[in-house]
Amino acid sequence: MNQLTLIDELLLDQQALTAVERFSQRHAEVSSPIQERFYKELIPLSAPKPGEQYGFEVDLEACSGCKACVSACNHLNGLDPEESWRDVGVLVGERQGVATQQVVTTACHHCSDPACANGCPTLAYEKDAKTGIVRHLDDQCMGCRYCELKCPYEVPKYNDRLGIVRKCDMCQSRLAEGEAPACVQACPNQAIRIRMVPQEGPDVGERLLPGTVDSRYTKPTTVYTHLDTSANQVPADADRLRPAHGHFPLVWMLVLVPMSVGICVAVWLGGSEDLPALVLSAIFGGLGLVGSVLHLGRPSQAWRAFLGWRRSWLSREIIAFNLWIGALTGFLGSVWLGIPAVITQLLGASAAALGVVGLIASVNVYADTRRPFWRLSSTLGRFFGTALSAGLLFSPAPFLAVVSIVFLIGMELSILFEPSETEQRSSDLMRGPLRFTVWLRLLTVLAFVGFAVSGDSPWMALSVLTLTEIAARSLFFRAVDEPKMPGI
Amino acid sequence: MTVKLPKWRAFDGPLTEQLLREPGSFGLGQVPVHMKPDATTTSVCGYCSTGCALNIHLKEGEAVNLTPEAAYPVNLGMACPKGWEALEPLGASDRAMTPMYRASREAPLEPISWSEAARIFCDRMRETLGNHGEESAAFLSTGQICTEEMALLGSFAKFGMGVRHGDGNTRQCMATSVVAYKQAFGFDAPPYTYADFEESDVIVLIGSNLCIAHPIMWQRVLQNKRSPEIIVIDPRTTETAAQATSHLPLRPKSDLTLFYGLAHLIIREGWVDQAYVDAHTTGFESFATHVKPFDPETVAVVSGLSEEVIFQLAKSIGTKERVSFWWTMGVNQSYEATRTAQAIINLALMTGNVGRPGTGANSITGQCNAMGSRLFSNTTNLLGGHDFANPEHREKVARTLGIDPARIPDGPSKAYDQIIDGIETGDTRALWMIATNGVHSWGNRERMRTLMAKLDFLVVQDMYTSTDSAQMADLLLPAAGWGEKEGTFINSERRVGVTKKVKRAPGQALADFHIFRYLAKTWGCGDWIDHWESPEAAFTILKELSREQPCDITGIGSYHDIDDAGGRQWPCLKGELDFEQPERRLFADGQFYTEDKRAKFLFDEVQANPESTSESFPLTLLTGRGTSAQWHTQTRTEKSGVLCRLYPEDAYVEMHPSDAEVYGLKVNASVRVRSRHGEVAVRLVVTPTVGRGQLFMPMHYVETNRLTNPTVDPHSRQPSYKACAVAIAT
Repeated sequence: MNQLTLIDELLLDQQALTAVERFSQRHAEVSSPIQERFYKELIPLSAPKPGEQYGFEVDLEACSGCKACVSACNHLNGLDPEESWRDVGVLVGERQGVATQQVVTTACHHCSDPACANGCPTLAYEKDAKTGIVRHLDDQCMGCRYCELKCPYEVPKYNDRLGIVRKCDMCQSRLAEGEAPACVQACPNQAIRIRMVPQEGPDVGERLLPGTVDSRYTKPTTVYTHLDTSANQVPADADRLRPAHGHFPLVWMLVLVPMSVGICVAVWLGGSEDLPALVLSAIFGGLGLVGSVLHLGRPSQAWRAFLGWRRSWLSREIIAFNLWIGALTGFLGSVWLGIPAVITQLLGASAAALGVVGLIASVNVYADTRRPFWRLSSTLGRFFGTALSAGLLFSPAPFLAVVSIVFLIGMELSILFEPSETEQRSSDLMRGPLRFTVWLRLLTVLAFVGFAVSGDSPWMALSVLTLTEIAARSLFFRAVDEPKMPGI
Repeated sequence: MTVKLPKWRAFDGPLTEQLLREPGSFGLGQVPVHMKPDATTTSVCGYCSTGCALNIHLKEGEAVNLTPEAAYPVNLGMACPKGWEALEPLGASDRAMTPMYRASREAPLEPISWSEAARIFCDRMRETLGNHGEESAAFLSTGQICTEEMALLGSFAKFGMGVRHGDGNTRQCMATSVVAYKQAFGFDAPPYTYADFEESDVIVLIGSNLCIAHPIMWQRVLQNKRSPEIIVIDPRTTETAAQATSHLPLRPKSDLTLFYGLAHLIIREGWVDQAYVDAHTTGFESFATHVKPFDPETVAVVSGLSEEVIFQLAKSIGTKERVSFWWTMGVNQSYEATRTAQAIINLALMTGNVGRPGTGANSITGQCNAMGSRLFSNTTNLLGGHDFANPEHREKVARTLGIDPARIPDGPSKAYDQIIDGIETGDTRALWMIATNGVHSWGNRERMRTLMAKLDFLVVQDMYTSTDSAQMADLLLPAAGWGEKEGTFINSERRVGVTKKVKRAPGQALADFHIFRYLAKTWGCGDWIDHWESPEAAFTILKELSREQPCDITGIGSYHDIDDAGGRQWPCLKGELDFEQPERRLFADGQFYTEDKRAKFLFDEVQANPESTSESFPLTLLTGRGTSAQWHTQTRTEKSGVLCRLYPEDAYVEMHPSDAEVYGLKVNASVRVRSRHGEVAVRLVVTPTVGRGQLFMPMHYVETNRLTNPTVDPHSRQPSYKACAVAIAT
């Protein structure tokens, strides 16, 4: 056998792992956690009594901004490389010319009235009756990401690898054994602790912290202590404009489905005779709903979506549109096959009604997130405006579609140029990073008006309407002012 | 056959199982099931000088996870996010896996074998040294590799290859403290132990953002039960300033004036510890004369602080029982840094705040092994803190290594800036850069790039192929990283700790120790190199080199002993130590390492900033650490997904709101910042934490050093990164 050369020996040695054999095994006999000495005073001694639940308490004065809690959450919970259920932000202010700053660490607030759970169509959230911990049931989740829109604190985080969201469970298995959650264990300054709070939520004032939403929405149970209120602090990222997620499959759905509903209603009102229009409505409806399914991280779990109908507008929307697409298909079949008019009109009426009900649910899906840009009246205007514009194109007076679209543009321009206080950020987004989409919207609207008024190219009018509404819906998602905790 | 119907609500299942936790044994508490270890071992972290021990969770010998070690005298169960994420950068996709070479500057780097790489290294270095002499090749090393590796590099390069010059990136962080201590105390000896944070009545932090630069030292501050006064002296309202009991936002670079002014007040008010000064120091009389003109009125004008604030600070320093001074880069990176550090030392000496618990003039080190580099890199000092100019020292080192004393140069190396300047003059023609990213980190970056391109031969030894420096290399040697090799680090409080091999290096990457050994064997250095056959064998040599030096560690034992002891601080003599005592500080007996055993008062005239502001450059740019999640040029920290969430991705400059208004600049707009050295476009962040007339940019983004000033301190030759005149516009 050849003798190994030096480089071969070195490369072999490089791959040999001998730390276990060469050094003492520390704590080999120790079964209880050694770290306990640092955290035993930071967690309650006993389980919550009736009427109580666990809550995080964060001392803003003690937190020095090292961010170890974020990493510890990842490592002690075995999360994916970029995943963590804790985030860190900063509040900055000025008191009589002296700068102040406080670092804010934040995770799930295990709310008394959790918006995530209230909005979940599959009942994938469970607020534990004993501990108050808001758990996410990973295997129940279909990956619709609606909870991300519902939660005003950016807590549920979508995991691309798994196609579901995951979130903080306050390390409930640790608490059950008298161990502290990962973040509590890891804080060198003991700034995070677990306290008992009343189950209806502690009194956290109007807002948890400057820049966060009205606490009455979800009743968060985290308590931040030692907030410096003398310095008019604001989140360090308050002025940072970042467009929200575009959710293209939802843009697609929320253009095609309202257009389909509008056309379906127009056909029905017109005596259920316009077969080509009805075919178009069915195609739009079908493609729209396919888009909504593509949006899911785990479409195979979509069958669970009806479970949350008692509280979730998304669940109701899904049920309504499923029934609607059935009725629409029936309506189309009956027109196609020339089934007696009474039955056809009846099917048409039910398709039209279910479509409208579905659209009402769609509007509420967004209005229910309490985001000002998505408030009920304007969302209603947007979604029904789309339906109306498309429907009118198939009415005896197609040029009326222009009136409808001008109404929509009027609303959009007023937000753009004369925003209310709560719409300012959306306006800034549209005038800043989203200005190209705004231009696309305006130019395509002009083109639409041209085609609709001239009346000689209805198919072009319809295509341009689709395009301009896609631009509008894209702005609907991207220009929304997402409520959040202070960032960096 | 049974059909399993899906449940209405799935409380468990394959996705839920991914996050299950169960008791991890080894005193760990619950751990994720899929990362449950079958053994654990501790290892000292490879980022900063705090020297935290990380408890590495092993599965079949290989690391799968880590947690901070709960029973280590440094970090008490905690780590900063970099420590938590220490294993992540090892798995990055841009790891250097094989040696690479380009035959000409225009050609791309091509993979070659290790034997070819070593042959090319030796041939081209020999050619340069042969044609242009011993001063024509140099190495630039680091505070990031193990002590044994630094010593082997320094020995091979200087005594084997006959290279005259080598320096390290430690020049950028610690050179000032080295010179300040050497001149004042007679040896480069930071005197403290971390327990001093817990024992002080007054903690004065100068140019040190402890909360994010050394978060675990801040943990020690919070352990202090004496309700200490915590005073932060820093132009910015840093995270640490926000946590302090008082913050003195002095004008940039008015520090030396302030410290002389404090000395003036302490003398005037009769707060000098005359007994201590008489017994243990020299030069106080002339120092007292020197600070006479620094009356509070003058100091207030220069520093922008009120006379009252200055008086209160002087009173705290002069009258409280235990006062400790701690400084970092705000002091060290200046054009008159050495005298500033010594002005701090003077305050400690004149108030007798030396050698007692909770006292000291304490320089907090930067890199994990800057302290190892200071003693054993064989650059400025001869191995073991010896003096190249001293024939007895050369004789001792030669004897210990088994080499001819004539191989040892009789003077120190050129400093980093002189090596770089030498490229321009044609004196430096070949450069070997190890575990540092000088093209990013050295000031006036554009010039640095031009000079690198001018070299005949640039060798870069690094973990990654993507660093700014690696991209310019002619020969790239793939190095194993922290966690893939073993050796020792010396932390800020002089604690020697062991770092271990717990991961397999990718491809053909090798530990720096192995690379040096292989190159040395290929070079043909002689038999002496055979004694350096492993890191632990090298450590035995280092112990011997330290004999009878202030840093004597002859009694420290093996790696195994050090590991069991939770690290050991130098000095550590055989039989001398009571190992029950985990902490030790220096100078308790008032005996310093100078010839007369007395500490020296050292001082100088205050200089004007050579980079002064002007009409064209009206603002002062400060630089520093951005967040605790970022390390230096980010070659490692940017590889962790979690760390990347913790800081803004794009380069930015911070400005006071009033200034932003004056300049008509909009928040988050792209702005152009211009200095006498370069211009960059960055995002504007408006924050009151920056003083008026000042800007702040974190050093981690490549943009920053396009602007900074290449001036160095004349004594330490450390660059003045902290105050550079700039202009800003849209």
